[in-house]
Amino acid sequence: MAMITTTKSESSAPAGKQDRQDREERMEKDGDGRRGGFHRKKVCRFCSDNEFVLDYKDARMMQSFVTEHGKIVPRRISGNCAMHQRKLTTAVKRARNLALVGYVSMGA
Amino acid sequence: MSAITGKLPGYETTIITRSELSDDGLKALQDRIAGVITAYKGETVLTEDWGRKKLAYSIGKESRGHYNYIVYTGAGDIVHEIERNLRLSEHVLRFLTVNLEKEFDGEAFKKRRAEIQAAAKKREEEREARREERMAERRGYEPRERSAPAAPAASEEAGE
Repeated sequence: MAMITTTKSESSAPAGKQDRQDREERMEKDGDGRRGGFHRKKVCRFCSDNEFVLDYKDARMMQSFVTEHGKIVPRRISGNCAMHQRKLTTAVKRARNLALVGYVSMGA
Repeated sequence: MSAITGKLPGYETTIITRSELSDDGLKALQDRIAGVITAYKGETVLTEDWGRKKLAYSIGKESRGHYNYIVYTGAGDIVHEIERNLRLSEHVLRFLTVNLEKEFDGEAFKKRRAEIQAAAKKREEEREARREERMAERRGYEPRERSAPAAPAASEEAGE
């Protein structure tokens, strides 16, 4: 409290800046602040791992990119790159046709 | 293009047949497809039997199906002819053909397929190992959880 009063007495503009910095620091400590929160960079699993191959015949692989209701997980969540997401959608649709992945549920 | 190098285009077909179809019946179907492939001057590169699997949803009141996977090369409308034959058979629930390459290299494909399967198997084993580890961890926690509430209770009693 004492520190805030001293900064206020100096000038108003830097005080506001200081306040904001304080708040951001606090938010980072709490870990629940949306603003300035920690974001882990997502990487495309198909790009990073050469052994992880996109294949419509591999139902096990597909299950990690399909929700339990059978929806394809969006790129913003799975972290796939645009090219692999495009290929993944065709792969999932082929697998659905072969009853390896369900249309409305994740499947067996 | 293919005429210059002498290589034919490659295709892969996955067939789902009724699970109650006998092995002889399946053999007859496979022979019929093999006959079509030779008639169209093609070559069977790879055949796989994935066995009977549970379908993700029922097809024609069937909840299980027998999966078969064939990779082949061939000229002209070989796919059309194979699919016509599959449609004639009443035991075939569903099929899917995917066009692989214009100039298909069978040996390279076989090698790649083996690699992919090995990698998938390795992942599966790792997953299994992780699960077992988790199970072991959970088993390890249980006795401690039971003993943990006992200790504070004892101290409370002592306090009173």
